[in-house]
Amino acid sequence: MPQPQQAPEVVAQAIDLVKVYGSKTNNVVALDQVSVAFARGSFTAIMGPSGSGKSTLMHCLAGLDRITAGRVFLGGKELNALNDSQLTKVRRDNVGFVFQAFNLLPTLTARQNILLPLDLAGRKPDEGFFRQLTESLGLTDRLTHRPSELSGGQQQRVAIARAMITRPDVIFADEPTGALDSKTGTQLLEYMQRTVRDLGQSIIMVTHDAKAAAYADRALILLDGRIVDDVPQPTADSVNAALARLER
Amino acid sequence: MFSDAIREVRHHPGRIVATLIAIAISVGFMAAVSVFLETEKGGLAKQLNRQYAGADVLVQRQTQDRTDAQVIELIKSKPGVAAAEASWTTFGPVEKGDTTLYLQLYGTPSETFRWSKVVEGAWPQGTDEIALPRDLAKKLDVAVGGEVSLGEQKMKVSGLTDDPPSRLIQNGYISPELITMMSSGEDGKAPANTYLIKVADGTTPDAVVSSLSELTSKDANTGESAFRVETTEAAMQDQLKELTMGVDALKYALMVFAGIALLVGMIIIANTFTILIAQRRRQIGLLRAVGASTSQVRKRFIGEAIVLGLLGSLLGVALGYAIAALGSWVTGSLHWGLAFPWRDLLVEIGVGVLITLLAALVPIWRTSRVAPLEALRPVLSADSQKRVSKVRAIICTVLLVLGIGLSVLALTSEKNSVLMALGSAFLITFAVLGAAPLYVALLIKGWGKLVGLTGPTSRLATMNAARNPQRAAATAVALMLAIGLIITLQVGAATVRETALSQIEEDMPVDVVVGLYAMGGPDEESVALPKEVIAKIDSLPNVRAKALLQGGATNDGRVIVALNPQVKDVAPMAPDSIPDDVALVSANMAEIQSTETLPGVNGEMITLKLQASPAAGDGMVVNDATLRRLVKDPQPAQYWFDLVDRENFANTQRQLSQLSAEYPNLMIGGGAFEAYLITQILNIMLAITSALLGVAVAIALVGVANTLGLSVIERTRESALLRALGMPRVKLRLMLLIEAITLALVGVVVGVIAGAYFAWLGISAVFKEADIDRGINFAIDWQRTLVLVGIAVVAAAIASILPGRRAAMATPTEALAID
Ligand SMILES: Nc1ncnc2c1ncn2[C@@H]1O[C@H](COP(=O)(O)OP(=O)(O)O)[C@@H](O)[C@H]1O
Ligand SMILES: [Mg+2]
Repeated sequence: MPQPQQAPEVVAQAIDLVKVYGSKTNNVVALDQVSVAFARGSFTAIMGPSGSGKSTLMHCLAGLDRITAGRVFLGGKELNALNDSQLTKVRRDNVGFVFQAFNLLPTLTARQNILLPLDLAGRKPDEGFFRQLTESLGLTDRLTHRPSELSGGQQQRVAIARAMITRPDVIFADEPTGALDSKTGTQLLEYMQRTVRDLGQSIIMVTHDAKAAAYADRALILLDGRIVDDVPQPTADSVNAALARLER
Repeated sequence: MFSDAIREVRHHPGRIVATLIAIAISVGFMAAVSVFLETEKGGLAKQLNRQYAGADVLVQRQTQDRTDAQVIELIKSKPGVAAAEASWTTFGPVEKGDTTLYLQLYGTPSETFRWSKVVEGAWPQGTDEIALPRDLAKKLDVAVGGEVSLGEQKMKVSGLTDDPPSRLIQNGYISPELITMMSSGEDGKAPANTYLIKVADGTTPDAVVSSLSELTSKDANTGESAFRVETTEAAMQDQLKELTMGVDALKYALMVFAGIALLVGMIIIANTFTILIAQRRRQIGLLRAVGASTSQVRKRFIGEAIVLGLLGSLLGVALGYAIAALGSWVTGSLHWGLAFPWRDLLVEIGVGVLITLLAALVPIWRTSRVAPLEALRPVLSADSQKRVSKVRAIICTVLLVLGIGLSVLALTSEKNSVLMALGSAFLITFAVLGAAPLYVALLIKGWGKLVGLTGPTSRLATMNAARNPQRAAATAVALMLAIGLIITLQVGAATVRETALSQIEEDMPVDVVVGLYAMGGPDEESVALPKEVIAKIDSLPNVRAKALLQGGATNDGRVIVALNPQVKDVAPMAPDSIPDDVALVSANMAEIQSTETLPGVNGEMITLKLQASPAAGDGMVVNDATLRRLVKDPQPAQYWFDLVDRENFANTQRQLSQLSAEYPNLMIGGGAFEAYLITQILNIMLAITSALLGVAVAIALVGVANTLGLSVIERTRESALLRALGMPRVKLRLMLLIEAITLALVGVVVGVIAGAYFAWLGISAVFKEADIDRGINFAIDWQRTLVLVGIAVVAAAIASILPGRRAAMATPTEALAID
């Protein structure tokens, strides 16, 4: 029986989002009236040339940076209405991050790094979920190692585990495969895709690699701070075609 | 070489500010000492100069062989003498109300020779007037026409003079008539000891000096000349020489403390350079990759060290001047202007640059280990998990074993205990400081286990503190050294005090003895305690037990008292009774003589057997019957009492000293008094040395700020990551605070333990060598120690404020940026 058509729940949303960097005299409009919504349980890729505003959009959606105008919602909260300590709490409880590099604290072991967000929130870890996560990421025998003793791929997997451990509304990933070789990168993307399919985790990923975008359910194309294209079920080819259209 | 260095300093002032402060404090200490002492010296010399401003030649009397009139007549008979006069000066207490000033009193000189002006009123006339400098009149709270007393004599203030305020030289003026009366001599008129001569125009002072050669001719018998004749200039030069010797001695003593501050400063500077170079490994690698030789790289850093040293030293000189200005403002010498001892300052700046360079040399040398590849390697974290070398462990163990061996020798050998204890202290110090990288991280981790239970913030903090053992060790070592020295002094002082006090308790168990000194002669009334004194003592608080002893003075003026049952309350070791013809005396006295013969009431001689007893204190105690044979009419003669709280003797002392104003022959003695004196002297000495060593502690604490500040800079990304992961700003600050306190505590704890051991060792060795055969009462002054620990911890907490702000300022987006 097919499910009745129903509007999917929105997990993150920007309405007329404007972000301007710099001083009054010398400013850069990084995001120009961006309106976009992300469905819960979806995997979205944000693409575009360098400097188009991908990272900025992600930072604004995740509550990492203040916006200049417009509204931003995440997991039902309006972020632009929150103060710094409330935002901090949102980041801790509702959001997970995977950055391109430098994801981990060098003084902590892999296990401690993964549990850090729960630790900061003063929450008890769910040992079952922890085991399931680390097993599925193949980290079980690396948990007592420190980041300097892990390979780049292992470090990124630790970062993903850390992002997932709080069961956040959204995981934001900024070029998570940027510093990895292609085989390791592929494994990571496959894992992220499985997470979305099997666990219903929402992921928003910034990438400039069309092959990476192909793992997502949807690809947004940014140019000069505006969303210029929205490619559903992207493939490497369809994304490359969309990017090629920008050249004209 | 320097332009690069200056650019680096200008671009990253935050990185070097703590180092600059450390250098500035070290150099500032030295500069303050030089400038202050030179200013004082200059002030004194100028003040003296001022007083002889009108005189060109001084004649100083050595013997009493001519009258003033003769001397003056002789001087005036010489060609080129425009004016001459005798000058008197004496010391006298001038008081009003509770204020007493000891003034240098001058007979008012005549117009020609006057060095000050009367700004209000007039110069003193007759024998009951006095002129005072304005500031002293203010201190005494008198105006012109007011009354002060000079010794016993009432004086009217005739005028106020414009003498500059000074703590060191305070003048007053009285009429020549009065001063010659005060300095009694033959027929109540003493000859002056100085004569002032003004030389006429066209004559040189030297010419006048040589024309007065007959005054300086040597006596045939004694080989001494009756007068000294010198130009004022020469006399002032002599004065200056004497002053300089005194000032220099003080300067060198203070420079010992400056040396300690410098040593601590060097540790901080070396640490800074190690960190700076670690942080710039990529930059160095890049330089090497583009073809810079290691010596070119080194030159850059040497240039930076020199620029830093110079800058810090100059700041230090400014700081020193500020402190010296404050100090000489307090003493009043600031009036004469601050000194500019450029030679001292040049040397001090040189020392500042040199120690910076020396401290930086080892870290700079290591830059050669940075490979060009370093530039290409992504840095995951700047902590170089260096293996702590085995060599270090072995050397430090050997030093420690040798040190402990010497300690044992020092405490058992017959000779040279102190020398060996000193050697032992040095060896152990080197071992403990040298081995710091081996144990500091462990201590921090242990402490981390403890505080880590409180949550992730403190766990992260202690992990951060321990992540770079070398750095943590260097930071802690600076504190260990500074705190260790202070604790050595504190524990030493406390131990000496406790030991001395328990000795006093044994020798003089009676806390306070109040009696009267026998005024001499067979007047027994003279030692009977007045009723007011007894009443006063009865009203004193803080008294546990007291005994009023009957007694009196013998015919030859010895005070004897008789034992009574109450004595046992204040001196528990006192016997129940004393046999006839036996006197209890102090152990010292009993050692010298075994009997004492005293005149009895009926004129016969009575021989007493002397018996040592602590209960006797400094006096002589007999039984009632014996007393009656020695003293005609015994009266209550001595009040003995025991205090509830000996430490609070000061209060008792104050009340008793009110009595001694009324009864000049009141005798106040007893153990509490001696204990009080010893405690006071030790406290003052300890306060001064602690304050001087405090400079080293301050530098060590700057080191804590420095380490944190630099670590935070290299951990910007981590801080940002923590913020992105949901750590609130306050928690980041708290993390730095805990890190600071952790570093400080490790240094303080090791410093306290080592310091306490050295103090115990030192005093034991001194006692051994001095052949003092009594156990020492090892004591730690917990109050002072805790205050010191508290200051260190609070200061470390304060030191974490700026680095903490910096860490908390990291925006979460910085974690994502890739450089
Ligand atoms: N912190 C900043 N200050 C000033 N301008 C910035 C800052 N961050 C980004 N920008 C500017 O905003 C624009 C978008 O940047 P970004 O979102 O990083 O692009 P992308 O991630 O797509 O490469 C660029 O022009 C960039 O120069
Ligand atoms: Mg980007």
